[in-house]
Amino acid sequence: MSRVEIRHLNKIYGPAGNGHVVALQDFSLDIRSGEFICLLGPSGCGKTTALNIVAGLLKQTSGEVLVDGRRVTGPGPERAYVFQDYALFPWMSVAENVAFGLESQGWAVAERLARAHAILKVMGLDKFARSYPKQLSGGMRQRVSIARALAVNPRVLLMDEPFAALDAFTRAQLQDELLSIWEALGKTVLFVTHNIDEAVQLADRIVVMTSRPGRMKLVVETDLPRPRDVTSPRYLELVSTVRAALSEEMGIGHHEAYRGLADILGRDDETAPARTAAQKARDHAGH
Amino acid sequence: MPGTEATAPTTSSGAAPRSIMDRLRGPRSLRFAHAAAGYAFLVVLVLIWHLAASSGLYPSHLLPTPGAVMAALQDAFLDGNLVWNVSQSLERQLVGYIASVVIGLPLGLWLGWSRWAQSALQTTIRLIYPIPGVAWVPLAILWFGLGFKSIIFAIFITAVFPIIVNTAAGVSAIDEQYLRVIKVFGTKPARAFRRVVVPAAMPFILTGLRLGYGTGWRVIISAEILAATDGLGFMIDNARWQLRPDLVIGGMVIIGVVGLLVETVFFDWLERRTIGRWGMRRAD
Repeated sequence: MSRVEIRHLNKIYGPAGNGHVVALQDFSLDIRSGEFICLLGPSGCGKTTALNIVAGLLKQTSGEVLVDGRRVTGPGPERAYVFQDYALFPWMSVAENVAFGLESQGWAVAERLARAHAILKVMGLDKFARSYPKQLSGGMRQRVSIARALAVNPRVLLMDEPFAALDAFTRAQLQDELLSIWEALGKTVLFVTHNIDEAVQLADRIVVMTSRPGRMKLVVETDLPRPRDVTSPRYLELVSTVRAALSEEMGIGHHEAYRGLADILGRDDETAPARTAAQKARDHAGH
Repeated sequence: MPGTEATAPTTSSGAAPRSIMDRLRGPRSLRFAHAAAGYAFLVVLVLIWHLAASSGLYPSHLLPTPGAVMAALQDAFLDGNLVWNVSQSLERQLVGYIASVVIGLPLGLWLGWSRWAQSALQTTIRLIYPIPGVAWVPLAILWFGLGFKSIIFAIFITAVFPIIVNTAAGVSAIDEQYLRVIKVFGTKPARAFRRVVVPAAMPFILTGLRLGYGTGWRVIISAEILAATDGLGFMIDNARWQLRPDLVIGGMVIIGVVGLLVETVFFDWLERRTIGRWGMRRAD
């Protein structure tokens, strides 16, 4: 368990002046120990940038991140990361992959593999311990990747859209499994997603972000007991609150401009306005 | 998590790479027919050769029949000449090739890893790389005299560059994702190199090893024509002096077969055991 304080983070890509992109602007967030936070926003809103700065993979332009009061200057063993595309090593068996963090910390072979096997057993993956990642489905690969992150027993779990590449059923299963793990271990979780439903399912608090520059738009407390009933009025209310904030952000309602396509392509239904002369000529030439 | 996602496409796991046309057409239902077509064409070719050679249009002391070539090979085998020459060529190839692997592999890894090494050596390597191995033979003869050492040197210098260049490319092309895993877990450089960088570069390393072997084998024959008194290269050049086109062609067939066996059969096996098993793509 760990408290994470994110203070006034700014991240600017590219040279100052022309051509630079403000990925993150004055982003602050105080994450309580053991809290499950979802960073939600459209692509390019800087949510992964924020996550990577907390992970120590990326240097902020200004601001700071404190984990239990200690300033983050790079990756550290108290923070583990789960990647969107799993990032397992194809040349290592599942058990070796899970043990890789421990191996990096200098654990002896027998001890690290013993712990890897123990974790795999709890997660029901022990019969795949000797398999290679390519033999597993996407869902199982991501579970192995989660096992690898857990193996080093971090206090903070950082997850970058970990279920984005999975189908809806697998995603639901993995969300459920992640919640079980979180409830069992009480780790602090920072979870990036662009999926509204996922955020409302998982989070204690949802941080809705705006795109370019990435800023905090709204923080939603999801005061619902788990497991969450997706048909409860409160659940639906939360979803629509978040959706409204995002729709506003993404400027949904600009469809007027698409009417211009009809001038180029014509319309297919009977209410179609006259096709352009050029189009008619082409249609005739085709017969 | 049953049936959630198809496992990664396994490539390069032995079978010949599929052509674009095949991939557009769909499932490989005609695999056997395609393999048969490969042998059928060869048989037809030999048949045409046989007809042309036995037609009398071309004197048989210049164009022997396939049968005559086989007979010449049989004689050479029975009197021990063939085995001796093949073993000589293979021994040189092996010594020169192993030397080029021992030198080229670490050098390539270092070159791919260190930006300084890359800056310092790349221009020189790019300059030397296009010089064909045979072009080194006259110099080698001056330095080492005719025979074993000169040929070893030619093979070494030919094979070492594809190995260096491909290995270095493999290391510098490493997937960013793997590097991020190393960073997140704080893996120490030596371990990261051994456990992640080298295996990640394996598709390129294998391509380098294969290319190095292949170019080495091609050069050994030329080098033996120029600088040896035995070996397959010497054997076919000597057969020319004896006006024995049957033995010249026979020697060429053996050169092809030995090359095919190692370059295709051995390296395909090596790929299946490593990157094929891991589901990694072959680097071409």
